Amino acid sequence: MTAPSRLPKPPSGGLRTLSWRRQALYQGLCLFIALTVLFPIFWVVSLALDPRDISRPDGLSIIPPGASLQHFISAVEEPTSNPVTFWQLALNSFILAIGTSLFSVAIGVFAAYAFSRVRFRARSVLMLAVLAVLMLPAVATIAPLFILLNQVKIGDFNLRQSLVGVGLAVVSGLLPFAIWNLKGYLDTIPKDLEEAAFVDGAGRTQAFLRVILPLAIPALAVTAFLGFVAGWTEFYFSVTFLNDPQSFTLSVALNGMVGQFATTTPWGKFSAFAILFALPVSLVYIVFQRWIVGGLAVGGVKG
Amino acid sequence: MKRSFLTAAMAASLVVSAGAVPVAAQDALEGDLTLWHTYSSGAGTELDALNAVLANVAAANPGLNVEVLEVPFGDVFNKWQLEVASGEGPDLMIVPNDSLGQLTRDGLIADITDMVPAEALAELSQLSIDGSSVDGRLMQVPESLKAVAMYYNKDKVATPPATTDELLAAVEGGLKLGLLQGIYHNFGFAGAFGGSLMDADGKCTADAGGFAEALQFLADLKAAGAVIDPSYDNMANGLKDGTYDAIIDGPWAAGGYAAAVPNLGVAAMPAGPAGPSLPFAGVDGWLINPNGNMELAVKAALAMTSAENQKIFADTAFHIPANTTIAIDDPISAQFATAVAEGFPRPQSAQFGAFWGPFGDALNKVLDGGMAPADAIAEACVAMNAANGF
Amino acid sequence: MSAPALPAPRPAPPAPRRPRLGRDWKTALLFLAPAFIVMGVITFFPLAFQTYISFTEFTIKYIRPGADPAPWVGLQNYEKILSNNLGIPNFFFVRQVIYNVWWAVSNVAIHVVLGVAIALLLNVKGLRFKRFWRALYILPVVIPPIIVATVWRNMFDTQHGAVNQILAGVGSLFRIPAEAFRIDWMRQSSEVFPFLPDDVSYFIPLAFFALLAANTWLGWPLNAVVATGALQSIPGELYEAAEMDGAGPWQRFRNVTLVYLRPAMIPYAIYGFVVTFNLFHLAYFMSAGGPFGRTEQLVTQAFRLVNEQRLYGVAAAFSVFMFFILLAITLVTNRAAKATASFEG
Repeated sequence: MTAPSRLPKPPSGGLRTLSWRRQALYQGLCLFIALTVLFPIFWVVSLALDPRDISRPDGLSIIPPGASLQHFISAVEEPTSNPVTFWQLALNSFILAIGTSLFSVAIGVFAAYAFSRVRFRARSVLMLAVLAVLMLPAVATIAPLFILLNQVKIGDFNLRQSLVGVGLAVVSGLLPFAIWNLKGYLDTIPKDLEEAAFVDGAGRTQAFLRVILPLAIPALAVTAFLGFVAGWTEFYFSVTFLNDPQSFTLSVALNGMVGQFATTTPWGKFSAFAILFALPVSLVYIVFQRWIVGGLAVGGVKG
Repeated sequence: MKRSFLTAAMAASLVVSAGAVPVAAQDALEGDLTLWHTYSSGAGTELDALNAVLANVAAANPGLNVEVLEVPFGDVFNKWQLEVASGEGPDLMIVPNDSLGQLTRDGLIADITDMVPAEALAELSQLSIDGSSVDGRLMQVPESLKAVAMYYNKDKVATPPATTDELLAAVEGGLKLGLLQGIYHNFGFAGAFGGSLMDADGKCTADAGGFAEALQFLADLKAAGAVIDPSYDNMANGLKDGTYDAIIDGPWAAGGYAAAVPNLGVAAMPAGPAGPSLPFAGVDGWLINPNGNMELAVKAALAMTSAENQKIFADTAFHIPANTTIAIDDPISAQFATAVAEGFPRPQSAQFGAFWGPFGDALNKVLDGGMAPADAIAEACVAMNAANGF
Repeated sequence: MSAPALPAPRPAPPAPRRPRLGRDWKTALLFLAPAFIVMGVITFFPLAFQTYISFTEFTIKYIRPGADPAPWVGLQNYEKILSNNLGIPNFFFVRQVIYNVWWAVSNVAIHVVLGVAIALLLNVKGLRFKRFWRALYILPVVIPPIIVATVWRNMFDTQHGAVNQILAGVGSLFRIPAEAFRIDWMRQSSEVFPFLPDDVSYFIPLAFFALLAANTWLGWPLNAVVATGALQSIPGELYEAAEMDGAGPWQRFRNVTLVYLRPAMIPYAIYGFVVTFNLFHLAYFMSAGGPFGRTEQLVTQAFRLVNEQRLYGVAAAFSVFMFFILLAITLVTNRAAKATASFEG
């Protein structure tokens, strides 16, 4: 795990190596923790591999007897009874998740910078407005958002019934979070750096783009990642707004599978689908792990 | 969808070629329709039946374009309301008549009393028409009826218990009974003990007797070893994998149970000291959107509920058809048909809407909280009356 | 014995007066415009509308374009909420608020302590495979919440859940029959700790502990990551200096580690508090509000008001209540945090 280079590197602490007994003890602890973390995941994997459609694994084994990939195949071949392929669902999920996260980060970072650096009269009021939005749950905004987005109709295109509309509904909650999160991080970047840039003759915008943004990459990564997860897992607006199966997302299909009042949950297929659903997010995390963790880790430290 | 559609189409062509009664002579329908349903593909065989019927209708009306969307049951009413209220929505959808009253009062479904020809109405059972009407106006095209009854595994249960006493004795003797902890499934017992829910004005009369005894009966069953669990999944899976010998559930799931339990039997809910059980008798039907193409939608709905197509639903999905001209061969369906005929028609009044919360809570309080049934029912009645403004 | 002198982490130096960092409202406008235009439409407007309908009796028929505006009822919705008069069973507003606060506080406390403890474990010098463990531990975070809730509900199932099975397995070692472990986690309403007064027991039904376990599984990894970052920025010489001054391990922890941990963990704890306060999936899918509404959170209750009761006006009033409650709590904790941590910038 690398800390950003501008912090003083702690000297590599003495050549203290652990006695094997201690090492074993600590490794044992780590293993125990890992088991608690992994247990529910093993549970899901076991249900996904089990050819019978049972609601809980029979024994406590990860690979049940007779394990097969049929649930995965069935999840991919027919995710819902509506005419849409698994790949279309996945594509829509990606578009929604990436679109909303990039959009909110891109716009949010500018606003965050202004809040962080520039003193202007309305600053505290507007910042308060952003904070207020973060704490006001949007539970009952489904009706006004529905009406609002329904107003935009261009020919055959109804904004509310499109992924763009759903994306906007998601952004409505994501953008304030992005601004708040990024501002907090930008606050920790010393202002001397821009000073140096101004001395060199750079304008405000240039200083921002050339000096600050690169330093803010960990925070951008974290915010983008959290935005991605939010867009990926969002289903409430999608189910309520969307009518065309071609614009459904994986999340919609997954939530449709959770049996409620008078239907049973197809556990095998659900678990397989859940694994396929969680995989991309995990992959994105692994690929961008370094920056994401860096962004989370350095948040509060100044100096 | 493609694969099951093809098999359904093949099944449909088999039915048609077997010389079944052809669709009544009428002009072929033309136009575009959007249709919603909630038959999820995993649980039962209803989706297959619907696909077969759609194939039939498509064959008979080549100029008709039907777009089909499946919506999860938990979301469908909200979705319908938001869409129709803002001036849009599908043309029709098939759902149980749970919210018929509320949707009528909010103006979110079309009054089709004058759009259904008398000949079509004549074929339908009075019970289905009543269940599809609010204040005398027909608000949905009836498709099928349903009421819960007792499923049992014939290999484990020689003769199903016919009275509540017999059931209790059987459970004490080792019968593995699984019940859903919900007020809908267990409502029938109230009638068995002589309870009556509301008077003509909608005021709660449950505390006059019957309901408390029913709850006591359930508590006794639980104490004797029956498993009463709020998870529908557990109950359904329980019957399928043999954990339970008997459960109480409705005809919608019969397809799944019949496939898993080789010797499946169905009997009416046990009768009680005051008479037979009176489970809720509900009617599934096609709701018509007042914003959409109402006439075409009604005609399409009537086509889909013609005798021939209702037979498909009856045979494939164990539906109890609203159409009285169809003979019910299957013993399981026949048993459900009896249960329906003797059931308590689900009220559509606004006052009934306040029933679910308090009485579901009373059930939980007795079974989980150990409250005395009489007190729980009294409280529930007070709460229901308060919510209705009495 | 005096603690070793510490170099205080410097707050950012005050900006020297320069023309460009002064009252630069033109630039501010340019930078803020896109965000606020977008937010104005899709965030502020619906929230303002939501606040408006909290003063009306808004039901579905008023959505129709061209319908009459919903009848204005002033504070009636708020009164109904406060007097528990919503026509739904088991609704006690004040108790829900208390429970919600307790839920958030207890969770955050446990997550922070666990996160720090495990971060310390992973920071031990000479420990092998650190990167592997760290990558592994972050897994709960990337699993979508609906799956977490459904799987954990399954695990806490009375008849077949993994938790009961494991407990039965452990119990069998002590010859306790398996039937004793058919614990009804989600619906048991009797007290867990009989010695506690009823008023306290009300807020900790068994379902609470099940939800706590699931949320802890979900919550400590991110806390550990934040703590790790803070730990890794502590200069090693501080520990050496402390050791040379004769400080024992606990004092080293208090005077060195904790000092660096606090400014990192406190803001994150506050954020975690807000997130946990509004955590939807677990309470909705796992306990469905718990035994008789005792694990119902404000956010799930508001959702039910919209989805099940279709009382949009009341749900909106609910949201406004939630806002003020969260605001109050955040202000209080902010103040408390500032009072203790003297290094906030």
